Amino acid sequence: MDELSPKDRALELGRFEQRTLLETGRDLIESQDPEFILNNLLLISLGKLRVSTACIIVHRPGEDHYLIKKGKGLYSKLEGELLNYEPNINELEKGVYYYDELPKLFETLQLSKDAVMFHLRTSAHHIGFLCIEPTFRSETITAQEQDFLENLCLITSATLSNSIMFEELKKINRRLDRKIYDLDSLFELSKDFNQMQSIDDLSKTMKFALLGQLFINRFLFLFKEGKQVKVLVQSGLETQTPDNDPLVLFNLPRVMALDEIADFQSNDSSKNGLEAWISYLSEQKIHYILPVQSQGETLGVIGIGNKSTGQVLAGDELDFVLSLTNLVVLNIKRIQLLHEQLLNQQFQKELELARTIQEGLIPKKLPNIKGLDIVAENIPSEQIGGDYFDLFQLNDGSYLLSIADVTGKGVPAALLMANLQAMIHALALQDTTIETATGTINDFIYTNTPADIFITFFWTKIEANGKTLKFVNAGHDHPIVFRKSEADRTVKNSTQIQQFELSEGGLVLGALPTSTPYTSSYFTLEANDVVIFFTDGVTEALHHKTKKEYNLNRLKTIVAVHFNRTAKEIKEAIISDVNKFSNYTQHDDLTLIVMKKK
Amino acid sequence: MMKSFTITKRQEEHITILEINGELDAHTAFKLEQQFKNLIEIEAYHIIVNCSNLQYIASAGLGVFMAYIEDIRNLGGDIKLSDMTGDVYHVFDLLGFPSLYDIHKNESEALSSYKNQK
Repeated sequence: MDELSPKDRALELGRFEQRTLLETGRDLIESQDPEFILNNLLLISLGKLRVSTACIIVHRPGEDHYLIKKGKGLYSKLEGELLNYEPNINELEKGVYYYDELPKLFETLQLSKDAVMFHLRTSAHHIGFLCIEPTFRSETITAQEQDFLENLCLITSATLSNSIMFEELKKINRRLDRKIYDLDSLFELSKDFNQMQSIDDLSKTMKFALLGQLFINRFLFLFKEGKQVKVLVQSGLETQTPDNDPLVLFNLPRVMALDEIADFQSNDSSKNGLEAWISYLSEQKIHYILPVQSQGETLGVIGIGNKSTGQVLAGDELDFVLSLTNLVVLNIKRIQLLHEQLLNQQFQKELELARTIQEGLIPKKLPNIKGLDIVAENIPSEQIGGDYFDLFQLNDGSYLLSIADVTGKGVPAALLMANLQAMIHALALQDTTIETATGTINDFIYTNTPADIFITFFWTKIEANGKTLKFVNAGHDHPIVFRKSEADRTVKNSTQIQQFELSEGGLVLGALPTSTPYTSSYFTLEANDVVIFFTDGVTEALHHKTKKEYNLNRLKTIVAVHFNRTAKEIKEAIISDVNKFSNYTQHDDLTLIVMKKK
Repeated sequence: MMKSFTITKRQEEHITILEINGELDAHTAFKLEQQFKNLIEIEAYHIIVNCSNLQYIASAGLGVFMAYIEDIRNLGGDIKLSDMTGDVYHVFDLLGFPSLYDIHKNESEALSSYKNQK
């Protein structure tokens, strides 16, 4: 091979360098791939300078460090590492830097004192450095080589800056795509959730969504109902949750990493419980706790671990978990409301049934009894108590009047009432006394109902002349006979009202078997006597504000005041007074019969 | 357009011979880089690069040789070059490579230089 003269050699080298720059320029125009641009810059530098170790570090604005973006030789293994070094960017004006000028940075990179850094920059931005370690070659880098590399760095920087920006944009785009995808999934899930009727289905879908969307296979979802917290669904946890009340986790104000929580509450009474939970959750590799709020109250808490791939969840992914859990919480509430409504509907139907039964049992029209003026009123309460009354004529021409209050409400009370009515009517046909019949009814009720079910019961046989009452009172509110006293008839305008209570009889029905027979008693009515029969719906009506009971005295007073009126007027006076007292709020059935002797 | 550049690998005892064909520049350099990485991985550190069909080499191509020579020598091996055409040798020479690399006229010379080392 021909030896070139030094002059020719320099000329040729110049041409070769020009060609390299031109080709690089062309390549840069064609490529937006930073990987390629950086690799090319490094390879050309290595080839041109005959060195084997070099790297490119890129500054990360806002974060105090450089990234080893690409390396050759020793640095090929350090790609991706971060250097903690924050440059004073405004002072970086030169194209080339030596050890003396940036000793810290050289040392951080473990470059020798002979190393050279070429500045990668555009007119507006500092990008980073091309770092050359010349230890492989014996001679120092010449001025010409340095010029060449400065030029190379200059033409590379603009494209590099663009392509880095392009990469950033691509990343942002990808994130955006992912966000849109997440939103789509949430939308689809929310449609699915809306179709679901059971909390079990919700939990299952939640489990699949977390696994499918984010590869989360470790989580624990707690839900609060009233003051009770329970584990609604979990995945991947191996042992039982601690005994401590998980309610402590519901006090967390926001999404928190497990180790953050430990510092969060230090002097609280719930500290021990919280610590127990944190240590349990960390044992189970749960890393984040996300409280889910609805209308200002935390209703659910989800604890989640890493992905099954081992990756930590990113902020966007935590957002997804939070949104998903939120959907689940809202849908649990929806389903619960639905169930309540259904139960309510069922309850309403039962009540209607009870009302129908009760209406069927109570006489719609009262028989006319010679010498007596009788009116009756039954006002069932919202929930249907067990009030019952009856009045009908017997075979011998006398009448049987009964009034009763069955314990309990709704359908069970109505059915028992129906039983009672059947027995009264059956026994009325028999040749038996009412005191014996009362014993028979008592034994029947006692045997056929639970111990806590009983009936207060009063009945009386009214002679056909409407004058004599034969009665048995089995624990019922005493009917009262009001009579203007003899003495007062002489004194004008003075009203002294005597009262007689019809109490003779025995125990309430159904409490004990009939060991001692029920007793009966007689009462003979005089003209203008007023008898009232009532249930505790009258005397125990509650005052709308003070919640005091209406009571017997008030009832007696109102009857005394209206003593001279007709039975109907007296009845209406009582009911209007009770309604005024309770402001029309009725807790129990109310039954009232007023009888006036003509 | 992708430039044409191919590598054929042969084995002569413990020595790996890479025949490189076509143009070695910024766009094709990665192929040779990959080849060197693979050889280091399988601990084949004794390498001859036969350049008889190398039509053109750009500085990025030269960089590939530089990037691995130190590693391979530290591991007890070498990258020897052989059969360069005049134009290619000219570039190597221009950039001062002959002082750094063991460059041989032909492959058998390169082979025997390895064998003599032993």
